Amino acid sequence: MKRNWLISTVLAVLTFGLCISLQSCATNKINLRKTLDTQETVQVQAYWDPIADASLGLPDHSPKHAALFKNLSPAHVSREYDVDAFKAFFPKGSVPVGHVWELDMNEVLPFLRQFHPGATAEMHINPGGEGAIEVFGRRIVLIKVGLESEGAFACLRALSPTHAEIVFRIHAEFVLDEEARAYFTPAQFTGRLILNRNNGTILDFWLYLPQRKTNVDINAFGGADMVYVPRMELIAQNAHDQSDIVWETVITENAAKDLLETSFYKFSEIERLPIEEAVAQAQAENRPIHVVLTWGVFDDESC
Amino acid sequence: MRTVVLSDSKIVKLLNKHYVNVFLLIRDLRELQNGTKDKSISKFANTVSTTFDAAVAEGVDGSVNSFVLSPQLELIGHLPYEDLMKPDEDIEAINEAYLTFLKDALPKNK
Repeated sequence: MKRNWLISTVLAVLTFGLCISLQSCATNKINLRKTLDTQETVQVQAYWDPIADASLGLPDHSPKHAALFKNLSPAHVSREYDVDAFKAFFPKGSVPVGHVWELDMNEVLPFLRQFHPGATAEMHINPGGEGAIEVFGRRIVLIKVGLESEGAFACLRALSPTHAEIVFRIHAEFVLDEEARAYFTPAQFTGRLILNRNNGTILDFWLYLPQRKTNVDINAFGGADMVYVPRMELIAQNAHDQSDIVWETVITENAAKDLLETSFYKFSEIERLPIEEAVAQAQAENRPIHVVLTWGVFDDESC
Repeated sequence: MRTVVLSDSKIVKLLNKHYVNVFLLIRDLRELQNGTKDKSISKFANTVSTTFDAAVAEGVDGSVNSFVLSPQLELIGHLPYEDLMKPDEDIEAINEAYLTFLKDALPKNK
């Protein structure tokens, strides 16, 4: 009798353990597409500030340039999306936290067309673009560097039994006028989407152009420039969902950012340091310092 | 440069194994020269900017330039990226030339 009781207890403990283990698997690796409530709609607001600064003054070069670049604003200030459209940002199958997957640009572009109908995934290559800049009192002719890295990637950054957060990065551009060879190429779009797994709704969606001294590359009539746009973003927040989220499995925002960057750029595998740390490390390990000095940044599409 | 030499597996491996790597914007170099009180950083900025200024004065393109500095922050090597971009040069040849630049600089550090 005592032995039977013992066996029953052990079985109960094992069964409980298995349940816990399965539940843990369910929260650590998840198929988000199956969670979405496809009856819902989401209202997305668009913001697009004018160009606030230009390295070479291209937007003011002529009235034709001004006409192209001075009056940019969202094509649709507000737009309603079926919640199904947000599957564009979801992985096709079950993924764990920290997993990166490629997005289908055909599914992403409808969002970017809320800004401008000329949104395209096919970024123009600009080998001949030249500009000039005064540096240290000298005029330097600048040859545009690097070929564009097209596409979009997303990463499951955080998961809880009730919510999931996806972060993403998109490289795309806007053809403003094909005949004028006028392009508006954001350095990148990045953003996040938070899904309420309990009711299948989008709690938060934010797609934006990150801040940087120059964050958009522009081209027109064969000329090129790097400019600054303070705000360009799409926002949707579910005001009725005030959930306090306690993430169960999570990677930091910086870790997710690095994972996305590495998906676009092979050069990201090069270990780089800020100058202070680089000098200290070089002296401590007697290693030479390799310096790449450039006019524009390498880790986005603004140059 | 980003999609050619800095994306070449052999070069990435060499840079991570033998070098300490810094990516620097021209505008940040000038700010560094004027803004730092740290003697080492000031020497770093002066070595790079003096070489860069002299090269640009001679007509070198300023878009992308590579430098190798010793741990004592003396110049070991300088390569304007335009020097690699000769007409009809294929990517493999460009990568090989950059690899040679990096390899040649290593013994000079000893």
